Amino acid sequence: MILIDEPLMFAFVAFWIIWMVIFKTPPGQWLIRLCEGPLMAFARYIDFHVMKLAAFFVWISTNPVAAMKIKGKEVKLKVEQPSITPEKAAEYERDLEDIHKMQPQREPMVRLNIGTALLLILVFIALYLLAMFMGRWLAP
Amino acid sequence: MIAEVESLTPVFAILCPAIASILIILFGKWPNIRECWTMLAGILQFLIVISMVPVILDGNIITCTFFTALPNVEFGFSVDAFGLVFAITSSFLWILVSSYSIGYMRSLHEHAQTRYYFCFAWAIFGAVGIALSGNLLTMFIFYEILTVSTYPLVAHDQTPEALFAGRKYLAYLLTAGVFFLAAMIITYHISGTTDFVNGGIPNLAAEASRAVLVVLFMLFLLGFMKAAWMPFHSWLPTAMAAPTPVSALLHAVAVVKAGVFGIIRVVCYIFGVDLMHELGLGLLLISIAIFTLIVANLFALAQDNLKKRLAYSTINQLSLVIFGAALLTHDGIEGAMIHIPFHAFMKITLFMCAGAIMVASGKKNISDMAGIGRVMPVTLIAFTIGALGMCALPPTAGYLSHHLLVHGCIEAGGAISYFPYILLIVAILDVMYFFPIIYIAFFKKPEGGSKLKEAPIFMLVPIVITATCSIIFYLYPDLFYMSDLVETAMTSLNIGGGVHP
Amino acid sequence: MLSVEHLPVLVVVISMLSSLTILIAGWLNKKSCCFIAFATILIQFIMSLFILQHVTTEGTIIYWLGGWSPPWGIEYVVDALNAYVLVLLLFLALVCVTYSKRSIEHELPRQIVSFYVLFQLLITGLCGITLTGDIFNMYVFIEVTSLSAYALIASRGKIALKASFTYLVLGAIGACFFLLGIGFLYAITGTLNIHDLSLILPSYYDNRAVQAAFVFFTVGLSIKMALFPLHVWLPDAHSFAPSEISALLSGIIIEVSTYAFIRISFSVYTVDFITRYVPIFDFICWLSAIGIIVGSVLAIAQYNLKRMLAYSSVSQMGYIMLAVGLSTSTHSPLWGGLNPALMHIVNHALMKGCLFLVAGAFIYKAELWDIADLKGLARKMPYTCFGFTLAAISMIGVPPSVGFVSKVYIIFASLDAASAGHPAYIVFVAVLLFSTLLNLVYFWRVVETLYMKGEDIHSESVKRDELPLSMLIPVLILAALCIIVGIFWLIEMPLPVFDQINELFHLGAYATS
Repeated sequence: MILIDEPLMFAFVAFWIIWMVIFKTPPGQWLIRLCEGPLMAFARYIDFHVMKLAAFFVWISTNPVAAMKIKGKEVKLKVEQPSITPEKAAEYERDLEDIHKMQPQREPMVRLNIGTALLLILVFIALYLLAMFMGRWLAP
Repeated sequence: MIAEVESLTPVFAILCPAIASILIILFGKWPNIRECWTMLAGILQFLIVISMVPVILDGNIITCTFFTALPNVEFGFSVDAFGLVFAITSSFLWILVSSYSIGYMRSLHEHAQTRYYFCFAWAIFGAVGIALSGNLLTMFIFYEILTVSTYPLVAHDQTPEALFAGRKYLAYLLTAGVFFLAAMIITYHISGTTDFVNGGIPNLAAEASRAVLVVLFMLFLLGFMKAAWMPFHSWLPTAMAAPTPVSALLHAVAVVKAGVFGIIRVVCYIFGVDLMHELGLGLLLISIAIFTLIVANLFALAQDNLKKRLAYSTINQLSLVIFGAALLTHDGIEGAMIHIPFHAFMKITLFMCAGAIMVASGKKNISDMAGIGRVMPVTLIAFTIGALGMCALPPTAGYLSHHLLVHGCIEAGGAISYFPYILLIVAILDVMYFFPIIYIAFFKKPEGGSKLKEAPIFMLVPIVITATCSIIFYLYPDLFYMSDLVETAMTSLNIGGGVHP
Repeated sequence: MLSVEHLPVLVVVISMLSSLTILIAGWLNKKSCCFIAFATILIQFIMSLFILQHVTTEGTIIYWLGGWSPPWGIEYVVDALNAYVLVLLLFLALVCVTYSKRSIEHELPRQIVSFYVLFQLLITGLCGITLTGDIFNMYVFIEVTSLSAYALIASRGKIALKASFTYLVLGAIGACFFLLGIGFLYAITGTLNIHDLSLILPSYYDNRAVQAAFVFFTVGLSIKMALFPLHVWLPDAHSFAPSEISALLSGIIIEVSTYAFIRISFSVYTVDFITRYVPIFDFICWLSAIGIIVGSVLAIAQYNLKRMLAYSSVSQMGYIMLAVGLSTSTHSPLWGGLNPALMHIVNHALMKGCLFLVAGAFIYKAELWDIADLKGLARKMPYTCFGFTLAAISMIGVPPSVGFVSKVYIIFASLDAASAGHPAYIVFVAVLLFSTLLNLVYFWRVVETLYMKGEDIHSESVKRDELPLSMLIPVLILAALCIIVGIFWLIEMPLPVFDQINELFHLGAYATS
């Protein structure tokens, strides 16, 4: 079988060189523009959102409780203002920004005080005992 | 009949960079002696690796076992022809890149050079270890060493950008390592061994269901994220923040080739071609490869930064290797195997040229390079040779591997016999982004007559050597026994056919 | 003639006497304290090596305290498990006491004497817990350990007092539970001797009080070993204690509680009881899996280095307890039974010990507590930072370090359990792998700060400001062991000691049924 693609390749190289000699600019400008414009924009968009996702996880993990609260407020804001007119956009962005700033930067964990800890332990033990004994007592 | 030869030679090959790294630290205060050790270790390692060739060409395997980590899983080396191809490539190019690094690092007065050479030696340690390892566990250990040791190289500049690149690099590759680990453990759990066996681990198919095997293969694929297949490629262009010699050796040879090397190992030596056929995994792999081939080239078209463009070109060429392996035919896999050294030589030329241009003129963007070929003719001629190789045009090595891949497609038959047209489109795209660089460099009028001269001699010599090698490979593919070794590997793999229809 | 049979009691007794000696000697000469402590622990360590050697070759050592025969007198029983934990415990104590000399002179210059007295008491308690064969005696030693630990944690004053108080309250609750459990068992069997209990108990397995006692033991010890969600005392206590105490707390004290738990579950009770009557290990597995993830996530959130390490300990305790939990359902000679758990106890002691000592080194040198302040320290303290990096790499689990080996073994154990009737355990594989990534996130952040950040990267003249040798050597020994022991595990793994332990408890390959 004749390998058709190699002659075609040489033909393209010849075509490219002739084009350059005649027009002084590489052929297929539209393709290059397509790649530089929409394609790269798309790639960057994807990349940006992936990074944002990663950053979001880090942000959540620094203080889950506070982050959830903030997220809740953000969603509330979004629900309250479902349609953003261009005039309101700046204000809306600022509101969002303010909400994000509420995240405490330097004090990530709320320390559990002894009372809470004790309560936790007691609840835990109650669960333990319930799980261990209820099952056995109820069993036939 | 394959005979196993017990020998310590692989250990010596591995020890060279390890010992060199210690000497580098000890002689950190005296740059000349320090770099002497690097060069010396490189040459010694290359000689040791080459010395294993005759035994391997006779169809033997060199083994060297240290201890049994798990039943049936030894920590040890087992050198076969395919591993040796990768080992020769990386150890030979280490010598050249060491010389190049000396020129590059000194001209730019880089900081922390001792750390740089130290980590470089460990990266080679990892790469050669991967090449010579005889089972997944050993490979995994060296794979992780390679990842960790290259981090300081990627983040070398210590600018926020470089740190970000380093973080991204580690995030991607150590995550990949986790998947690799999972895949390794599952393989062991299923089959009770992790050795690379010609034609695949025999009892893999019998012991596990189809779905498990497909998942296992996906885990392996994710584990070899070093092969930069899309959409998990974005660490590679980001890692171009590294100094150019690092990009040259690690991101054209050691790191990324470790990825495709691993994929071929999995396809041919863990799963085996027959099982791949049966599970239809060839098609999965081929679609990933084709997607990457085309999209990476489109991305490359859009780049103005020379190193970034080369990075996307690397992603594209790596997928060519994956493509060859995915064909699951004699010629396809042979093309994939031989493309590993060939592409390494050509791509390293390109990267070193990019670095030389950077050092001599400080230019990073293609649009600024008008007329640069007239003042740096040697560099740019070498660049042209490399570029021709990327476009698979004669007289360069790239033509040969491309030719084999096309044969592989036809051999596969069916719809795949039309895939050469895809390769054609890919090659055309290659031409479209490499030729303008050559045109701009040679034929465009420079904008202001600045006084430029060629890069230092330490950098020029390696460039000339690799460029010459790329051409010699075309005329005489057996340079460094490459084609013989690949032939030996293919004979022992014994994939049906080899007869062209 | 002193025979090995007498060593177990000597280990405890000389330790206790030494703490009194330190008190008196320190009154005369402050500087002698450290040397006395060092010498004592060294002798103890050598003795423990003899004990281990004897136990592995000749078999269990039994010593009757004061010649009173059990069940009336107290009995010291040393089998492979005790000896193994004892060696590890004294090794880490030896390293820490070497390190403490300079560090304590700097951190607590006025309380040197009391520090060493308490330190020696702490070691006494820990040795006692591991060596005793009497359950009430064990409780006493747990209290000795805890009381000295409270005092040591509080020794810095100020905020450490609060941390210590939290620990005190929770530790007391834990001890109460333990005591309740003992009381229940005593009420039913009338004996406190572990061996005796194990003979009498099987006929009472149906008894609710016996079952409740086991739950009480579990809860009490869970608090002591900071098993999630009972870990709340740990981060504060670990971050405010002097560094060598943090290293001991994290590396050994919580592990000794794990030892106590293993002892109670498999020596007092049996595998049969656990699998048939109170199937609690399944529950423990899931808790530890959650603990692994939560500990790591919380560690990411920390900006204080020692606090980060403390949360990492929570996650690592998850590893150990997960391995313990899996021990009843695995049967491989290699990763079955207690093997992964025992392995990770050593590994964690080495890694976390090294990390806490390095954290202490930063505090010693420049009062650096926060990760962000550590910029560019690698140029000032290259060896210390190298030690930290090795340990961090082990924590992440890069081969061939210790972390890698234990991770692989625990994964194998969960796969084994998954294919032996607990299909849901496959989740643990994912959990372990995911936690590797989380470990990567928080440890790499520190390594990056040490090596890659900081101004004036181009200036060559950064003054070396390395630790004094007596602090540096412990750090480097632990760091080197992180790699060496990892390779050792890979080479030597079906370890005879582990085999003996599994045989003793009928676990792993020796499981009946």
